[in-house]
This record gives sequence, structure tokens and C-alpha cells, in this order.
Amino acid sequence: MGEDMFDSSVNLEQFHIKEGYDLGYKDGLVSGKDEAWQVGLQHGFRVGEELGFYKGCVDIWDSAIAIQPELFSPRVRKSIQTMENLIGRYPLMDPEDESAQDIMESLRLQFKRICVTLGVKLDYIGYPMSSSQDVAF
Amino acid sequence: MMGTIADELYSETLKLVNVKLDSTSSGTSHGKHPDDGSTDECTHDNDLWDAPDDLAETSDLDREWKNRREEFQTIGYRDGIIAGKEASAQEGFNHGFKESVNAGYQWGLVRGVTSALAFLPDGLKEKVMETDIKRAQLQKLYESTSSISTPDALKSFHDYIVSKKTVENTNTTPSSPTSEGLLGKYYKELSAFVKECPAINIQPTIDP
Repeated sequence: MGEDMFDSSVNLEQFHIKEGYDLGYKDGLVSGKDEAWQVGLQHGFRVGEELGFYKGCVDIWDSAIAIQPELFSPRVRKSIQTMENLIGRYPLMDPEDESAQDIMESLRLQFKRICVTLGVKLDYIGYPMSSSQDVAF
Repeated sequence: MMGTIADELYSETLKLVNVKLDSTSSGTSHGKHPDDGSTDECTHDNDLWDAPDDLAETSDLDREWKNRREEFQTIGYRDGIIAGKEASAQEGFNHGFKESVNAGYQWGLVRGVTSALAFLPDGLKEKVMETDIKRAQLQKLYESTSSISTPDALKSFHDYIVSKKTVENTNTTPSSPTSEGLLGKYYKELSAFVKECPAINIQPTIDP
């Protein structure tokens, strides 16, 4: 008898915990989606900006090579070609693709190499040097 | 024999009946004395007066139960909200990412094109942008865009996205061309600029 009473009170506890859980889960779905949306918005913009930046540079260098092929050394031209391939492979519309980070790292390396060889400092305020920093809106 | 079985089986009932009978009999006997009758009524009254005390006790118990219920619901709620957030985070992140990546890309393209053009060797610059006006235009575009930091660009884009969402939700006036945001304005400016420079070959869209 005493055990039964204990069981039923435990069941009631479980029931109320479950009740709260379901309510919390529903709220969590909504707030979690919104919070993650904000984070995704930031991350997507940064990734897009960096990739677009490299693409813009590569397009201009290619346009320059078309006019004056001897402008860049074969090594630099090879680096530009490598960057172009990397940009083309970047999974821009698939944030869950794990190859993205490696491609971005390779792009940064190639870009730095080209800039050093050309003797230009091509970056902008907020350009990701190594690790990305977070920004609060 | 029969009597004892009957006694055993019905003893409880019989006792109750006996009590009732006793009380009625005593009642009738008490009825002879009006004072006793009034005391009888008093005990009934006492029962009635006890009722509010019982209610108070049950409401105490109710409160206790309510508190316990809320306590357990809160425990459950905390776990639930974490689990719910985890379950929807990836989806929300992907949504946000896909909404902003193209705008970021376009903005980055503006930065990349203007920066790379601005840093071309002078002789080549003149071949790519044939007139002084073009070169001055580029320099101006480069200076104004490079003065915008990524956090500022991000904020401008974020404000634009949020205002766009608000307009969509409230379904009021359709967004005017100027509401495209500061970044969109620079992108258009660059596109117009590039169109007038045949030597510049850029692919403004992202390959799928």
C-alpha cells in the first residue's frame, strides 16, 4: 500500500516534469531557431564577404593577366588559378559541409602568398586574419 | 449455527443498524427533554462550523500540490527548452546562413574588385580603366567602401534584413528600391562602373 502511494506520487512527479518539458521544448524550438538564425545570419555574411572578396580580387587579376600576361610570375598565376578552383569548390549554400573550413584556410594562405609577392596589402577592416571574431548587433 | 454465520456476515451492518436504531431511540428518548434536543442541534451546528476549517485545510493542500506541480514543471521546462533549442538550432542557423551568404558575397565582391583595382600598377590601371574620370570614380568607390568595417557592414545588412522581415510580416507598403540598404547601393554602383570598363571581366553571380 505504502509502495503504491509512493509509485503514484513518483508518476505524478514524472507527469508534471513531462508537462513542463513539453512546454519548454515548444518554446525552445521557437527561441532556439531564432537565436541560431541570428548566428547563421552573421556567419553567412562573413563567409560570403570573405569569399566574394577573394573572387573579386581573382577576377581583377585575371582581367589584368588578359591584358598583360607577363605582369605576374608563373608562380603567382598558378596561385591565382588555385584560388579560382578553391572558390569554385566552396560549398557556399551548404553550411553543414565540413570541407568549407579547409577550403577557406587554403584560400587565405594562397591570398597571403600572392599579396606578399605582389607587395600589396589587400585587406579591409574586419578582414579575418586567423580566427573569426564575433560581433554583437 | 445459522445465527452465528448471520451474525458474522451481517455483524457490521447490524452494528450500524443498531447504532442508528440506538440513536433514533435515544433521539426519541432525548426528544422528551427539549434541552437535550437543542444540544443535539448544537453538535450538528458544530459540524457545519467545522466545514470552513476543512476547506482551509484542503486549500492549504491544494497550494502545496500546486507548488509541487509548478516545481516539477519548472524542472521539466528547463530541460525541455534546452532540448528544443538544440533540436531547432541547426535549422535556424542554416536559414540565417542562406539568407545572408549571397548579400555577404556581393559585398565582398565590391570590396575585392575595388581593392584589387586600386592596387594595380599604374601603367596597368590606365589600361583597365581608360579615362581619368573612371580612375577617379574607382578611387572614390574604393575609399568609401574600404572605410566600412565588417561589423558596420554586418549591422547595415542586419538592419535591412530585419526591416524587410517586418515589412513582410505586417504586409504593409512594398519595399521601395532605396530600402535595399547601403551595401546594395554600392553593389549597384560597382556593377554600373564595371559595365563601362570592357577590360574588367567579373562574374557577379555565384555559380550554383
